[in-house]
Amino acid sequence: MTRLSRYRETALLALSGALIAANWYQQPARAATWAAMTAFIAGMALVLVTAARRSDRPNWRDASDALKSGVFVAGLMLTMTLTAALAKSTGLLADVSAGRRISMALLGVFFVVTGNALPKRLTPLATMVCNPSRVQAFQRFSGWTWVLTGVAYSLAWLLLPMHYAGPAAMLAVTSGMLMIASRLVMLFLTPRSA
Amino acid sequence: MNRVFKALSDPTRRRVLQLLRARPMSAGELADHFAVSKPTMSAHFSVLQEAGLVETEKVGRTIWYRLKMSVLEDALLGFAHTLGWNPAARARTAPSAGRALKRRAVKAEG
Repeated sequence: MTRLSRYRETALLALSGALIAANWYQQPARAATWAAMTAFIAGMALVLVTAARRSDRPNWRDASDALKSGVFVAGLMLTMTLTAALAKSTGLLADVSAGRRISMALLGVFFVVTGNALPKRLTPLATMVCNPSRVQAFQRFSGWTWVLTGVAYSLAWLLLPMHYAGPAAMLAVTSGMLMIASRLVMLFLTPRSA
Repeated sequence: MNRVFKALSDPTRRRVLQLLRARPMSAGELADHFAVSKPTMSAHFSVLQEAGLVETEKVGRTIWYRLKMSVLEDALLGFAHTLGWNPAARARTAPSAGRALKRRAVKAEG
């Protein structure tokens, strides 16, 4: 792991903290919002510290990496939103929707990254209750579906007009989830020997 | 990522991955599909394992090979197969080509 990737989450949280302070200074009337965001950042910092402390334990290594990735994505989205809010309050950005578009597109990228890794998570063959080849087919299907869902989600937020982007993105996510869920039901309904 | 590209550059290894797309297979089952020696096949398996594209699991006395490809790697395999990407064949004129695989095969044999 490079030095940069090791400290990227900490750097993002620090940047988010600085942006909250700047926003609070610019818009003191919204103190409750900034206080809530500060509490959120503190919670994420706590998660990060816990993950870092337990990462040397064998059972915690994967969970620790997953927690760090989650903090990174959440920090990235928060940073984008706070930057857009600050840019709007200082008059640098006339349209605040740009910040929202980018942060939602980043969420789509998170779906893509998650979906990409889905087929790599293997269950031991001996512990499988379903047919292994069907489980593999299901994992590939859900990975591809989630990646395409993420791409559709990001594109909807980046390209469509604001009042269409939200519903279209939700439609993409709902369709993706329904497709995966129906395939999962089919997997459990099929006997292991089939 | 270099290891993934290296693993996908060989048609035999790509064929192995395509066979594993259908279902997990034992080493013997996979080897039956190819007219190459056991050590060479074993060397191909180790390249795929090093790239993280397949995983082995021992159940009883059988070692099973399973696909462990991300969506991106799956897409790369599709592209490589469609385009017939084979830099190894192009490089075969170079004396160093295939030497690494031979070394692996000898290692697997020993």
